[in-house]
Amino acid sequence: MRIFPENWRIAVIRTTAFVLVIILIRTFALQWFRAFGMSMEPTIKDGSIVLANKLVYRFRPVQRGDIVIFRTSNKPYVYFIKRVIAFPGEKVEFRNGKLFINDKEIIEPYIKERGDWNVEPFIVKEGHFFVCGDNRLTFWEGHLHPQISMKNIIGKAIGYK
Amino acid sequence: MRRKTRKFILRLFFSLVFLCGIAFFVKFVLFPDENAKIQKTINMAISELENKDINNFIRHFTLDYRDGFDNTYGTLYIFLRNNINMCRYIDIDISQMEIERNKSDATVKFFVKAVIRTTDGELYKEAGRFILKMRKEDFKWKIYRLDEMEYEFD
Repeated sequence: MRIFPENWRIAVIRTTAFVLVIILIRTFALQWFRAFGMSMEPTIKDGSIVLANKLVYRFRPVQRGDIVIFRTSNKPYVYFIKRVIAFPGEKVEFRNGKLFINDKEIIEPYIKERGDWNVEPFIVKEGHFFVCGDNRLTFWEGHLHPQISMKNIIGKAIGYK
Repeated sequence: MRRKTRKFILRLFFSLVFLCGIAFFVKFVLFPDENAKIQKTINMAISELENKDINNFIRHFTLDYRDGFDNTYGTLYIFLRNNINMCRYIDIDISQMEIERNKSDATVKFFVKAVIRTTDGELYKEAGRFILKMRKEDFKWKIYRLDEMEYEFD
């Protein structure tokens, strides 16, 4: 009775190497998430699979409009996906659903329906980004609008389906 | 490789699997520790809620139960009894459970995702982090406090 293939050692080494490569890629380069909730609709639908590039912000800074995946600072960790809207020190305001940054209206092509948010102006904290979901049809209070730092950011969403 | 060596490796492998099985049975089935009992209580409560078995679900709570939504044991029971039949489908998923325990008191932190479809066809999806406070009453772990944790960012 033959239990192991003739070159079973090679098979074990190959499998181990493959698993290690996958673990390394997942830890340092790419990670996939499943979207839960509707705060990023219509861009990212509930239940979509989102692929995060964890390396991109080592080579370039966060840009306005980037969709980022970030997590809470303490355990149990919760992961969120939102769009970067404003940078440190910028004044953010919503008037009848229109976004104003430093009193200038910002055109948001990714928004399908603007909604009617009215939010008093506030300044984004130093070293932080203001992030927001694309779904503006729910109440402002129903969304989470955190100001996050680079420590919270896991990566940039590069693909979603 | 020689036949004898192969047989030896196989025997060793199956002996290890067998020993692991026995160790698992003794540790988790015959003599579960208190953390395992707490986890089992929470899993049972979730399963009962998913099956809309409110009478058994409420048995996991102490009579002086309070939560961060101003519920008491009584109001929680009445709320569930009045609303549970509006749910056609409940799916609750708990992860990242952390248990801190002393002799008869435990704090459990976890992340929960809940999906509820009502009889009207509406779909509700909620997620959050919660802290459960539990204590031992009559040899059973019961929940006496539930609070939602704030999200914290650096």
